[in-house]
Amino acid sequence: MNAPADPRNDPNETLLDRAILGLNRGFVLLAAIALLLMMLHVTAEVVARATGWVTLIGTLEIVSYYYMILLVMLPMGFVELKHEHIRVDLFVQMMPARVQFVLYLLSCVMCIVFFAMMFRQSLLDAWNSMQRKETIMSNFIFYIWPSRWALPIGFFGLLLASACNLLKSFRHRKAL
Amino acid sequence: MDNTTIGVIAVGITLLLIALRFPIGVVLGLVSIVGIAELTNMRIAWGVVSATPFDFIGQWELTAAPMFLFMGYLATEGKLTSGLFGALRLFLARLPGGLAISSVGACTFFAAASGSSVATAAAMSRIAVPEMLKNGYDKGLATGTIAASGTLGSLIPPSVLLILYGVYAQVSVGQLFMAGFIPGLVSALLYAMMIMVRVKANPALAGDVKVEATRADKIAALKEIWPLPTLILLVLGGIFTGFFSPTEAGALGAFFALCIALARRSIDWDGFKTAAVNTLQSTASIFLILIGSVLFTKFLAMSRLPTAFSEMILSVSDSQWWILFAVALIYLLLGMLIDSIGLLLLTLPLILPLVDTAGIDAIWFGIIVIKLLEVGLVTPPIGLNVYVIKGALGNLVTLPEVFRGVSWFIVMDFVALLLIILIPAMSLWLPSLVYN
Repeated sequence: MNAPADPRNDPNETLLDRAILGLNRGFVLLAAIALLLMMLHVTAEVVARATGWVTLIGTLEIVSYYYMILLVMLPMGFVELKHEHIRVDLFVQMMPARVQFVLYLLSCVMCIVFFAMMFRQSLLDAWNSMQRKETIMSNFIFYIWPSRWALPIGFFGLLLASACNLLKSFRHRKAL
Repeated sequence: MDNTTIGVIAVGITLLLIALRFPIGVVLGLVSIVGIAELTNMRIAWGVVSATPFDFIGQWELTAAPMFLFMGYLATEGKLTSGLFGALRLFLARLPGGLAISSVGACTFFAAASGSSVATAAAMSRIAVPEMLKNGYDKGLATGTIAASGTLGSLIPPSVLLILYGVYAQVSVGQLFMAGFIPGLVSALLYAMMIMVRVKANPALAGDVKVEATRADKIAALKEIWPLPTLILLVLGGIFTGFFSPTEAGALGAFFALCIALARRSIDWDGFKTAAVNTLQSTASIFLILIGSVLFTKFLAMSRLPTAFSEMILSVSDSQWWILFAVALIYLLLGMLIDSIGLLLLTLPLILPLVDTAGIDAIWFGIIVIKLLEVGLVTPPIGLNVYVIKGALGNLVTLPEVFRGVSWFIVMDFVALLLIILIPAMSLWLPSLVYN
């Protein structure tokens, strides 16, 4: 008989787990595209400046407000699913498994509360920004409202990942 | 209850929750929202949540962080760093403790191509430690060398910690990179000297290494490793001459690392995917703490705790030495328990107003703080780099062996720290050449 899988390394237990992982992997793919575009765009800008052929207008704005926001926010849920967000393990490791389990559930609840608050507010902000077609001060009109949507999407990914971790921990009766 | 008391209680709850394994970024964020609501009202708390994360993430200076992380991961996955140790040992193996010194050298080079201490330690532990153990090196010396030299990644530019500090302290990241260069090299030299002295005094620490290298071997080794020094020269040269901003240097560095790896056929699709995913994971985990930390800064400012904290420290004495001593004590104590990025972002909201009030140079202070955080990376019980090495080597070594080996390097770290504090020009001379 196979040994029971370690819940930390087995994200594909239920249909819900698979769906949340799949969604977050999709977000990571988009973030990876933003990362690659950032590298290529900035490199092109330096080459263009050095050779004096052409000036790429708006590089700073596109890099800061689009690529950066996307590559920071979109992978957050995936990182939560992989338990890669930074925590201090030292003291809890010395506690009994039952205490570890209870603390883990509490930490998941706290994450859900925080991410839900951030999701709510960033969603309202993105909506308002879209309504008024938000721009920033620049030498030209630069719309930033579309990139505001990366925040609610990222926090939604985090919210789902925390809920997924909470349910999984509860099913296994142990801290992940 | 007055505002400062609310601030003190909030800091206590924050430290308690962090110790209970709650994610650092989430703790900072949620405590701040509740704290701001308590100090004012929920409407203002929502206002702070609304205004903060988007504007903070979208800062040009911060865009350098993912670019340098990407460059480091591409250099590792593209095997640009794998020949370093082998090449350096051909040149340095005749020195007492030559393999360990070669490891320090390889870590120094790697640090200059990577933004992260942990990445440096992880990469080098798999290459250099088995080689040292095979040659009869003491386990403590072999593992301690890599754990400590890995920390050079924080000080030698490019460094993610320096970028984060620069953005927080509102000082030029380019200047910080220059300021970290000499202290980083001095730390590496101190490590190398200590290894030589120890091995000379007790030759049993390092086995006999027979390296017979002809001139042709050495030239062949240099041909193998040339891309990395070239990459470093491009990146640091560009920043130091003021031709590139740090973000531009990071993007070019990542682009050229990828081009070189593709030209040498040393990276495949899986390697590229790993580099991209690792970059995104590191970036997202750093930025979740950053978002929490920015909210925490706003909350603490409203509570006026940083002012009260500054007044408390300054009431003992307003001497620069006392302030540096107090700050060092805080970092050394907390550095034993909290990882470096979390600690930096947790403490800066409290420490920076003090530094500002005392009129201490923010660049020089940044280098001191990063050096203190480096020490925290190897001190028990957390010592992240020690765990990284233990994780990479499995049962080959025990944790106490690594901590014992690293203790000599911590002594050298204190010597380096003292030099950085006593000779500010060590940090400030290079930036003054370019920026004045």
